[in-house]
Amino acid sequence: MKKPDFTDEQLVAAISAGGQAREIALKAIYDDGDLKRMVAAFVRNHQGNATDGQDMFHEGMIVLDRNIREGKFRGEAPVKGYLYSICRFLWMNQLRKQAHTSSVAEVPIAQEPDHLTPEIALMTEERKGLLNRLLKELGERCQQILELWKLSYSMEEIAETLGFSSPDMARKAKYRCHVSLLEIIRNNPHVEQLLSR
Amino acid sequence: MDVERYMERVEQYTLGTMPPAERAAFEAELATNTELRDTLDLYRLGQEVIEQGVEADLRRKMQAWAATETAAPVMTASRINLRPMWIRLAAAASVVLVLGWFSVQWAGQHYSDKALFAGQYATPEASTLRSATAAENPLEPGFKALEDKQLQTAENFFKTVSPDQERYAEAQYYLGHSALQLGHFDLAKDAFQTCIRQNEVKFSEKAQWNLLLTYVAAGETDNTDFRQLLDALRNDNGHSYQREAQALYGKLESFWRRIGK
Repeated sequence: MKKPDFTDEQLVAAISAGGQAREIALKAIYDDGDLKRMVAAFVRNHQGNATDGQDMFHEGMIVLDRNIREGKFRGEAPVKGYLYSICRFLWMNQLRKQAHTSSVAEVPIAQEPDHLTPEIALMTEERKGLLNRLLKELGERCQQILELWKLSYSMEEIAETLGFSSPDMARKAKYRCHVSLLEIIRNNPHVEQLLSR
Repeated sequence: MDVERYMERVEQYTLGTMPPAERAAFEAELATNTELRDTLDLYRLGQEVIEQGVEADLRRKMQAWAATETAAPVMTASRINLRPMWIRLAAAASVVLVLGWFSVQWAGQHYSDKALFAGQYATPEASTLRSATAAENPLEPGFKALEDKQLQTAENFFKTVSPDQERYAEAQYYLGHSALQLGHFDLAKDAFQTCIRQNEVKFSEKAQWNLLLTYVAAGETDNTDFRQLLDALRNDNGHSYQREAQALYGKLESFWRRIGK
C-alpha cells in the first residue's frame, strides 16, 4: 500500500515544485518496499549483493529526482516503473564498466524485459570529482544556500531554514555565494577541461 | 571578465524568466560578446557544481531513511522528585503499577500475533507489477477485484488459474494474499507454498515472507515449519526480506512479546 497515497502526477508536480514538497514526494517513492526489493532482486540476479542493490536504488532515486526537476521525465511510463528501469540501466552500466568485455557486456539493455530507456546523463568519475572539489572550496554555508535555492526554496524559506534575519538578507547572501562560486570555477586551472565536454 | 556585470541577465536567461524580446536580444549579443558567452558557460558549470551538492544531500537523506527503517524505538523515563520518603515510595509504587498496566497494554498492542502481523504485512501494490497492457493480462480480473477490495471475488478468480496456465506462480501469490486477508489461513499457506515451489524470481522471496506472516496471523508462531523458514530467511544474507525477518525474530524473542502474547 502506498502511504501517503500520491498519484504519479502529484509526485512529479511535487518534485518539480521543489522545497518541502519534493522531499515528501521522494520519501513516498523511497518507502515503496516492493520496488526496493525488485531492484535488489535484479541486482542480485546480475552478480550483485544486497548492498549493491541498495546503492543502485539510491543512485536511481537521484537520477529520477534530477530528470523530473529538469523536465526530462515526460510521463510516458509510471514513475516507479521508470525508476526501476533507471536502476537496471545504472547497474548494467556499472557491470559493463567493471567487466569491459566480459559476458555482461553481451546483454544489451534492449533485451531486458521492459523497453523503457530512461534519459541518463552519465558523468565521468573524473568530472564528478572536479565538480565536487569546486563545491567544497565554496564553504558549507554557501553550499547550503545555493542548494536550497536550486531546489526552488523561496527566499523566505531559505531565511527561516538558515537563520537569516529577512528574505532580503538571504537573497543578498545567495547572490554573494553564487558570484563566489563562479569566481572559484573561473580561477580553477582545470576549468577549460570542465568546459570542453 | 566581470562576472557580476552579466550575472543577473545570465541567470534570467538560464532559468527561463527573461521576457521573450529581451531573450532574443540576449541571444544576438551572445554571438558577438565573448565575455557574455564565457559568463553563460561559467554559470552553467556552476549549476552542475550545485547539482553535485543537491545529489550528495539526497544521498545523505536516503542513508538516514535506510537507517531509520531498521532503527528500534527508544523509550525514555521521566523523573520524580518528591521529598518525603513515604511519598516517594508511594509514588514509585504507583508509577510501577501504572507502568506495569500500561506495559501489558502496550505489549499487547505491539507484540501480540495480531499486532506483529499488522505491523509487518503490506497488501500488494498491484500497480507496480501490472504491465501497461493491463487489458491483455490474464490475471487482470483478479487484480481488479483485489484493488476494489473484493477479496472473495479475487480469491475465487485466482483459484481458477491452473498450473498449466501462464503466470501460475503469480496467480498463486495473489491467491495467498486474497486468502490471507480473508482469514483463510490454510488456503493462504498452500498458495504461498505453491508459489515458492514455482521458483520464480519475482515472487519466490515475497511468497516466503508472506508465508511467514500467514503463520503469524494464524497464531502459529510455535510451528516448526514457521521457525525453520524464519531462521532460513533471517540468516540468508542475500534474501530480500532478511532485515524484516530479523526484526520479526527480534520481536518474537523479546521480553515484550512474552508479556503481550
